[in-house]
Amino acid sequence: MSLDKLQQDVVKAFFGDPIVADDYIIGDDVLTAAQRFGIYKGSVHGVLTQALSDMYPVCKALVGDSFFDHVTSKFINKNPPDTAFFADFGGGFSHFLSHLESAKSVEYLADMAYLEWLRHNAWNSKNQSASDFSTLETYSVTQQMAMVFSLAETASLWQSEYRIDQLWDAHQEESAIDLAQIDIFEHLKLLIWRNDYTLHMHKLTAQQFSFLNAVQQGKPLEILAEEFTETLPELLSISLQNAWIRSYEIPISK
Amino acid sequence: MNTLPSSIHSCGIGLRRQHFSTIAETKPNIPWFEILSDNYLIEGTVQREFVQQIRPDYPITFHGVGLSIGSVDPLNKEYLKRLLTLKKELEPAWISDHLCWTSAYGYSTHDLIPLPYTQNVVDHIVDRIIQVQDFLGESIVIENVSSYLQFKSTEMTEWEFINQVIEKSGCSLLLDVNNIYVSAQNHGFDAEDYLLAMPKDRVKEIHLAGYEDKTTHLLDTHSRPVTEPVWALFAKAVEHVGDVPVLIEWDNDIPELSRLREEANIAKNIQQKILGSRQ
Repeated sequence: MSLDKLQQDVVKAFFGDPIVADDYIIGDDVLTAAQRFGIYKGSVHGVLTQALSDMYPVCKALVGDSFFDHVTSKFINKNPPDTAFFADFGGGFSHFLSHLESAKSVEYLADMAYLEWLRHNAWNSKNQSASDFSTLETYSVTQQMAMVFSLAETASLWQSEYRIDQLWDAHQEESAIDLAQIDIFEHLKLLIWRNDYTLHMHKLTAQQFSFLNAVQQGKPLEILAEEFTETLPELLSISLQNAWIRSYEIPISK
Repeated sequence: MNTLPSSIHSCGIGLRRQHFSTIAETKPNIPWFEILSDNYLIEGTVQREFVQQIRPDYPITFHGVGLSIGSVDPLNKEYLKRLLTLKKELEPAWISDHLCWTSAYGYSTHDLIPLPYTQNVVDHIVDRIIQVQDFLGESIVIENVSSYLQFKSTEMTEWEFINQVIEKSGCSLLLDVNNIYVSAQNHGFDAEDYLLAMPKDRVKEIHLAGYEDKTTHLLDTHSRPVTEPVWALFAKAVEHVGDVPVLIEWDNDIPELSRLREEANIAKNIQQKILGSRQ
C-alpha cells in the first residue's frame, strides 16, 4: 500500500467518503479498525467544529448547540478545509446556510453568519496606522484632485435586509439592547473595521455607504467631487473624523 | 543594537491568547514562551502585534502544525514563506513541527494524523525535512505524536522510525513525554522502551501535557493537568536526556496562567532534583 493511496483514501474518508478501515488499520479486542479510524474522524471534525463555533457564536446561540453541530458537520463534509491557514477556513458558511432548507426557518441566519465572518476577517486582517491628514492642505489643487483615499485593510462594507448589527449586539454580554425591542426587518448598511484592538461596526446612511463604496473602488477625489457634489465636504469630514478613511495616496504624475 | 533574548532554559509555557492581557499587565517571570506559529502567519493581526510587543521580554520558540511533513502533497511554499517571514521578524530560538501529516490531496485536516512506519516513508520525510531546513536556513525540531491507530503497512517500531528520520535528516527531536505515554497505553508497548530508545543527544525540548481517559483509549486533549504516570515518565526522560528545556502545553479548557505556572514549577522541581542528584 503506497503512502499516496493511503493518504488519499484516509483524508477523503474524513470528509464523507466511505473507507474500509480494515484494509489500512490494525484492529484489536479493544477497538476495531473502524473505531480507531473513527477517533481521528471525530477529532478532525471536532477541531473544525470548534473553529466554526468560535467564529459563529451568535449563529450558534440563535439555533442552539444541537442544530449548530448538525449544520457544521454537513458544512465540513461539503466544504473541507483546503488551506493550511486556519483563519481562512469557514468563509463559505453563510452561503451554505442560505441554501440549506433546514436552516430557512431562521431567515436571517445566513446574514448573521456573514456578519460574523466579516468580524472574523477584520480581526485577522492587517492593522494599519493612519496617514497624516494634517498635511493635506500642503498639496496643490491638482495633486488634491488626484488623491486616492483608502479604508482600513480590515474594513468591509455590507448591506442586509435585517438589523443584524443589533441582533448581534443583543447577544453580547453586557449588551444594552433588548432583544424584544429590535425591529429586525429594517434595511441595514454597515461598515465593519478594526483599529488596533477595537473592532467597530458603524451603521451608515445610504449616502455614506455610497461614498465609502466609491472610496473603496479607488476613485480619486476629482471623481468623488463629481459624484457627491455639495455633500462631499460633509462626507469627507465624517469619514476622517471617524477614521473610516485611514490613508491616502497621490499618484505620481508621469 | 538591541538583541532579543534567546536563551531557552528551564520550564516554559505555551502562549495562548487567553493569557495575553495577564502577560501584558503583569509581565510574569516565565523563562520562555512557545508560540503556535500557525496562528501568527498573517501580518498585522492582533496576536502577531502582541507577540511583537512581548518579544523583547521573553525568549520564544515556534511550534507548528501546518508543515505536514509526512504528506504526499508538495511542500506548501506559501506556508513556508510566511513562516520564514515570521522567523525573521521574531527570531525564535528554534522552529518545531510534528512527525505526521496534516494535509493531503488538497485537504487540510488541521489535525495530527500518524504515518505508517516504513523505510519508504522515512526516505520521503527525510527528503522533505532537508528541503524545509534548506528553505528556512536552519535545522528544525520534530515532535513525536500521540496516536490511536497503527497502519497495517508499518514495518518498524515508531522509535526506530524516529531514530532514522533524526539521523538522516539532521533535525532535532522535540520529545513529547505525554505522547509516548498515551501511545504506549493505546498500543500496548512499554513507554520506557520507547523513551530509552530516543537519541538523547538530539533532544532539543520536552513537552508535557494532560490527556483524557476515554476507557478504551487515552485521548491527547491537552485539557488536563499532567498525570502522575506522565510525571514519572518525565523523571525518567530527564535521567535519559539530561538538562533539556521543558514546556507545558494546555490547549483546551485553558485555566488561568497561574495554574500553568504551577505545572511548570512541578516540572522544574523534578528536573532540578534529578539533575542535582547527578552532580
